[in-house]
Amino acid sequence: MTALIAVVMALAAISAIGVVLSPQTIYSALSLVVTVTMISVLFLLLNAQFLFAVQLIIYAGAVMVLFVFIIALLNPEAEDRPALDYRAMIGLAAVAAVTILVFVTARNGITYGSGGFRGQQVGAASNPYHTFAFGADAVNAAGNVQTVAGQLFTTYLLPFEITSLLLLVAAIGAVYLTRRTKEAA
Amino acid sequence: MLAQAVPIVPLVTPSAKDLLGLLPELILGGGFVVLMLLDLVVPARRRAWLAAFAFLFIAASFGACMWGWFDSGSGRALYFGSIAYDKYAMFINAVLLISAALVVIISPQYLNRRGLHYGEYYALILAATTGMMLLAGAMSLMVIFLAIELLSVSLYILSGFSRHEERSQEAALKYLLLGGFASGFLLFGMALVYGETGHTQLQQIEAALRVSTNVDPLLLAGVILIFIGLAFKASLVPFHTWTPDVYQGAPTSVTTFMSVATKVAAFAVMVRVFTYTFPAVYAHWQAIVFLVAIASMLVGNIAALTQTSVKRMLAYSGIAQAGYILIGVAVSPSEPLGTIGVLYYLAAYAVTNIGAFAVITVMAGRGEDLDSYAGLRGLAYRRPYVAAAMGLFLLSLGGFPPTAGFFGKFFVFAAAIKSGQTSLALWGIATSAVSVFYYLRVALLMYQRPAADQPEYQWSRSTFGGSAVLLATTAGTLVLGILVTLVYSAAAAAQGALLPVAAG
Repeated sequence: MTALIAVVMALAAISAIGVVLSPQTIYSALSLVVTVTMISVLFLLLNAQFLFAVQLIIYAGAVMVLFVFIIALLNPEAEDRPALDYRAMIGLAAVAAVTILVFVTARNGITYGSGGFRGQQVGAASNPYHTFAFGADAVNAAGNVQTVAGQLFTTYLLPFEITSLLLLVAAIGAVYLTRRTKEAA
Repeated sequence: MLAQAVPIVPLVTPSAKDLLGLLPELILGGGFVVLMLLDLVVPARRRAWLAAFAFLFIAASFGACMWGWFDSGSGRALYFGSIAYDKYAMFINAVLLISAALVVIISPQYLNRRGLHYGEYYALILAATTGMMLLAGAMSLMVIFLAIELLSVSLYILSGFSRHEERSQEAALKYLLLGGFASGFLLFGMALVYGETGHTQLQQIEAALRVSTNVDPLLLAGVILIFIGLAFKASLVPFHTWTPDVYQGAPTSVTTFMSVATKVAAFAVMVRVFTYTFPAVYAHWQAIVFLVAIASMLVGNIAALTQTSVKRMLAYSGIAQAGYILIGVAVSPSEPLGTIGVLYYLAAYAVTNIGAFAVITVMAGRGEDLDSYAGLRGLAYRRPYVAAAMGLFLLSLGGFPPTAGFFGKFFVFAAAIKSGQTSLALWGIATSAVSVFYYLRVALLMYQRPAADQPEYQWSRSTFGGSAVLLATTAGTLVLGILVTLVYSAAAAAQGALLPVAAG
């Protein structure tokens, strides 16, 4: 199972890099489809079947169709990109190095205490404060949809409501910035 | 076979008391929707009515805040620990609402002159303020993120409000792209903190961190990424590069609003998250916050020296001011004066900076914004009171007694010295000395006779609203500089009741 998760994650990361690097917009969009699908598979592997379905329907389905449709409509030319100069290379290398360092130290259970970095045996590094409320068994017993709904309308009720306000603002902004005015026409 | 559906969380609904605690935000959020509807029925020539309605909503929300401040039932987290109903949030809300009200009053005149008077403006100001107020009370990583997005999206639109002007478009796009990037950092940091602690509510995160002995590098990475995301909103060095361009490109009334309100909201949440939720790992984030504070003070003040645009100068000055405010966050979490200093500084900065920006908003002539230093030359001979007020605001920004800015700086430096971070206070004092140069340069310019061959800038006449705002900000700057105990005691009360700590 862990190996499978690793494979899915790697595919998601590779296709995400593809989104950024491919010169043709349509390839970027198709890479994004792969990324989104892989993330939905991750949900499935983590016992969140409902989120898997939602992710697939909304993102891989609806949103990506819109993307591809707009790309087909606008038919953009292949991008004329400047070659990577040394400054960009240094920046990329630095970000990659820090990211790898953080994740490798964390993966190997090295913790950072008062005496600097301390090595630990792999596996013994599990956090003393790692308490997730939802094990797979509990979720499956209650039902996926019920669990999501229960959370959505209790703990995350306020964020859920703020989202509606956020979407309204975004809609108003889109209308305002693209609206044709009498002066402009 | 269907398994018996058992909800794994007891389904309790939030009580009506939760709604009452959220009243200031509800009034303003509702006002946002109502204003959009009113925009349909108000005739285009009467759009100033919308400003009046917006002002009424802000006043009502302010009233609700006052009620919340004196309500004995405050001091608890609402909506399952998602948002705080405490005096700290009410203090910040009051500062935000006063800022928003002042901006709304000076807007109609300015927008009419620029030909930008659309109803969306007031609705978006209310939406942004709602987001900022939610941020001030946010007790959950989810609410923090969504509130930041709410205020950011509103401000992206507002900074591009002058749609047909290239500089405004550039400002909006730059702000949108960099802001989206910063939000990515913030979200990634939140994901790491959630992954380490298993919680999104600050109360539980704080409790989880308190019992842990070892610190996982992933947690530290998360804490730092959250700091980066918030530092971007507060325009701290090295996440400040967008600030001068956006401040210059956005319509001046929008710049007035976002230069103050965004900073207030960002620091409000930074204090709650860093000083009161992550104190257990203070030793790990302290150095970074120190460096960012020093870098902001240095870069902001030195870059401001070379500017010739008032808006850019005030942008860099804002970066430097953010550095001073950050001192209050960087001092030890066990030192309450740090938080009190931040609150006092934010209140002082709000009135002073709105005053300074209000001068260039109200005095802006038809067409071109009042932006270059040359445009201020000789202001004192044509508009003596306005020039005197501007002089006072500049002195306050520079930190001269007896103005608001002096005591803001005094409290954060005192907190730094009290918690043994004398070097930080010294950096602050040295860079303040530098800042006096560019503030006074502008002040002196106003009192210089214009050169004979140079035409004077065509300043507008200040309207009743503009004069009222200048009068209010002048009074505020002096009150905060003379009747110090008034706001200090309020700030101390706000600090004393701050969640998640006060709840225990």
